[in-house]
Amino acid sequence: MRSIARVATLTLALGWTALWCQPSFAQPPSDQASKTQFSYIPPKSLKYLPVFNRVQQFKLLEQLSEFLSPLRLPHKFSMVTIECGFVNAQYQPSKWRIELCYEYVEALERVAPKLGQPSEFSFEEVVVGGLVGVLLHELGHAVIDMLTIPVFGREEDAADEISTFLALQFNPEVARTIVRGNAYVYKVWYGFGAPAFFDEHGTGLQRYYNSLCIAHGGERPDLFKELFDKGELPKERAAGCQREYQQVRSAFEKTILPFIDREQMKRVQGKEWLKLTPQQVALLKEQQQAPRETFTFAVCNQSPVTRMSFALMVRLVEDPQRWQALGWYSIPDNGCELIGTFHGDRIFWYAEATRGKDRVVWSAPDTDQTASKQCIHPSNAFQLPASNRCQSGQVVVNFRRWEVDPTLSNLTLNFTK
Amino acid sequence: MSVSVKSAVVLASIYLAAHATAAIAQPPPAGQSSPPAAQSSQIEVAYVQPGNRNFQPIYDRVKNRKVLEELQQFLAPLRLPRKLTVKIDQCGALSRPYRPQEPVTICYELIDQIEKVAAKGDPKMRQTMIAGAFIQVVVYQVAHAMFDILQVPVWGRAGDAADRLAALVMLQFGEDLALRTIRGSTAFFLASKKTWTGSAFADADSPEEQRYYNYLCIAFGGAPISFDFLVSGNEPVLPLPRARRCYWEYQQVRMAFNLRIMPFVDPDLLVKIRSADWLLPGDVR
Repeated sequence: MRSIARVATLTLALGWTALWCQPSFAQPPSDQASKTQFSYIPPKSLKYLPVFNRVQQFKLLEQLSEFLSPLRLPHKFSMVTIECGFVNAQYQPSKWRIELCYEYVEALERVAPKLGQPSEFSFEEVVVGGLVGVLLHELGHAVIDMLTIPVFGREEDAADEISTFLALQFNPEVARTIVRGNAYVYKVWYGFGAPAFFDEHGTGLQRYYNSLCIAHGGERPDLFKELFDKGELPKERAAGCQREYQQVRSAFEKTILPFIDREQMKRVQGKEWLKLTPQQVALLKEQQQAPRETFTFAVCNQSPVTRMSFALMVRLVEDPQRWQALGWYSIPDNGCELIGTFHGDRIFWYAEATRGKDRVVWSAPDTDQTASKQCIHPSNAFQLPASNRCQSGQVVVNFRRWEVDPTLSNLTLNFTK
Repeated sequence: MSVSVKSAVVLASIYLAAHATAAIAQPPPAGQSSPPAAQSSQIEVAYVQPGNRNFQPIYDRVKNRKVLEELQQFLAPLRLPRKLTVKIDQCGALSRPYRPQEPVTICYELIDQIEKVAAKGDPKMRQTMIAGAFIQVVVYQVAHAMFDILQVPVWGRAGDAADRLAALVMLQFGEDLALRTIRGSTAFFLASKKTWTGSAFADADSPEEQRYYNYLCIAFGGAPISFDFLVSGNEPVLPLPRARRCYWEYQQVRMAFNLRIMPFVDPDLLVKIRSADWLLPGDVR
């Protein structure tokens, strides 16, 4: 996946442009020869207006354009933020354009460390670093296309390599922010759920280890000492990382470096990047504190069973500290029922239904250590504090656990068999 | 088209013939040319006597059939800046990763493993799996050597790069061979797949199942009619979201090959190699 996140403001803040102007492409003022253009395209949906306003306040596209100024491209190239209708960021070869979706900004904010949540990653580095890292990834696709670069390996891995390699060319602070931001995105977000081996992308964890390996094999592995000292990169892989880094470096020198203005590159490398002003820090903190842990949950029965009754154990929005067991929800045959909006990153559920003359139950096996035994009332409606010490009339059943995809705000459990 | 692939295909066909219950040498039909006698002077070959006596039968088979000498013939059009040694050896592991300035090594252990896995599977697929997997290993290892010797810039993971080049090459020998080698090699990947979790994903080699889809994608992208069975039915073998991009994946590897490897191929000798009929039924040397 490609992601968009809130953009951090950079110290080289440019003049503010009106929020409501029609999309028009701007040039970075410091390099008239650059063919890189950018634009913040107003969204159609009202709900993305705040995101649209926020990304402009951080001026990422302005700064990225300037960062790309040493690149001598054969034609004009543009970067836009835009409402896409899906969560992604992509390079469009037909338009020579990188598109950062507002949907992705929100998704990245949701998955970034929450306020008060213990994490070795900060909200800022995940959002800022993750955004810049993904933009550099899309830039990787862009240069592969525009410069007709020969790629023998998988292009998604090549784009990751370009992102990490370029990040390592910055000063230490920026290199750390981007590499660590990428690392979090790969491991926590892209690494969520079962791996899809058929996909053209590597799994989240593969991408995580790939990027750590290049960082480890580069000229400054000490920048990420805390990760390597923890053993995040297995020794067997680490042993070959210098070779892997040299492979990437050699490929860069042969296929991209000839298109870079060395003098301009030195000027760009000498600047400070990704420094937040106090106002931008405050804006980030505001987003970190925004409610992000709720999700709407629905259940659909598109299976042969009938008369399905559904129970769940969740944390209510109005009482997020306590787990409660709720039932029964009647799920229509060949239909869906909107259960409600809840809090948290996981739910537990249990269901019963009829198949012909038989009663069918969906409960967790006793061997499932992630499951939760809870008291319910077998026939009456109930809303009970989570407990496996049942009162008269109640029975214990084993609820199944379901981890909520942190990037999603609407979830549906489908019964199809 | 890479000559290294042809050599590997012949290599496998000879190896396959060695396992057949009856193999009868037959002259090529009239009107078809035999492979040219010229061998690559830049490719040196060696069959290393295994210390493990269990591998002796494999050693005897491959040596008697001169599989590496055939490889030399097929690599003849390659103009390498230095010599390359290809050997079959006991490795102490299933594979010995290629390293610059070192020989390409095919391990007896892997040949043994291929045979064992194939023996457990569908008997009808046994020969195909042995041939396909063997070809894949040879071409894959030679691909790594080519990247090094020809100083090819490699973007993406090196193992995936060698896989994609190997798959490209496998498609250059006509439909029948493409189907057999791709089917055989991918069947071996699938039969060998393990469960991957957590830090296992740190491995520089890609999961077997991922390699399986990579090969299928290049195959479908390069020969969509021959491999249309991969995308048919309600649950296609190659999921459609990936299949839709396979044409582009194939073209990308093909372009990379034409740009960075073809300049080192003697085009006239290549035509002679390509015009020869290397894989006649029952052609055993």
